[in-house]
Amino acid sequence: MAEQVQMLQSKIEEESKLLQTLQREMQKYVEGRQKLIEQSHENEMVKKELDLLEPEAKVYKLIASVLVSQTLQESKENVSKRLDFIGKEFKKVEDLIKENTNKQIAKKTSIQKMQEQLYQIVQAYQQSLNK
Amino acid sequence: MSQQQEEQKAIPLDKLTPQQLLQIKKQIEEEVQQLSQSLSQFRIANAKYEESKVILKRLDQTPKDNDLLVPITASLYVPGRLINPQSIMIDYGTGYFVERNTEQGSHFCDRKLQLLKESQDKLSNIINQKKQFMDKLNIELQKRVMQVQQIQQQQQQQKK
Repeated sequence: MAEQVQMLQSKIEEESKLLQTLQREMQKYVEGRQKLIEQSHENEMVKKELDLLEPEAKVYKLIASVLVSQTLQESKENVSKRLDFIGKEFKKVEDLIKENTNKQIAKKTSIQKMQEQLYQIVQAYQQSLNK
Repeated sequence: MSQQQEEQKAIPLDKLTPQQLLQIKKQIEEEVQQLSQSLSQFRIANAKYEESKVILKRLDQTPKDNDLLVPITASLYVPGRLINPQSIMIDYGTGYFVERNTEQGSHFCDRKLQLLKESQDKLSNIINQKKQFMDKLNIELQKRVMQVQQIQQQQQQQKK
């Protein structure tokens, strides 16, 4: 009985550590997702403002402390591309989050089962002692 | 609103233990605090845009070739001359700047202020909803306390 108990206990520890790793991963994903939302917002606002500009408007882009002149067309295309990119990254992160959630649920279930097993073994042993 | 209603339907308040009620109350309190901080940040942003509008108006009234001091660093200024009081550079975000005149700049500030106002209103609504929910929680907690007191009184009377 003691062997079984030890084995279960060490397995439970292992799985709990894996669960913690999953949770830390999840936090990173959530933070990344939040950043993407912010970036998407900012780019949306810039796109809206650029749409209001007349074609001759002087647009500049900040490239490492230098304001470089751009055409309105270039800037609009650039911002659209950025928005597309952010959208794709966002989908990726959402998929990763889904996967991670499922993995966490699976781990928690397995840990719970092992804990129940452990409990049953200990109960059975105690009962056998009482007899 | 619908999410909260769902929460309340899913777990009717009177079925929760006092400890759970306290837990939820703490959670909501923290949320309200965070949201209130965001709200004050909104107010700061509001003030900045209003200030920018005022400065633009003053720029309009400044004559051309006005002498001024240009900051090169935080502590170094260089004398200069205002060549075109009408032309300003606006930071649109994500590294894009656009050269506009003061009127267009003022319109830009107006649009931003409008966006800010909309977001602020949404945020205020959410904060109010959460506060209302907290009030309900408090009422429920008080009920529990009174229930416990009643039971205690009954027990004391029975002993006599």
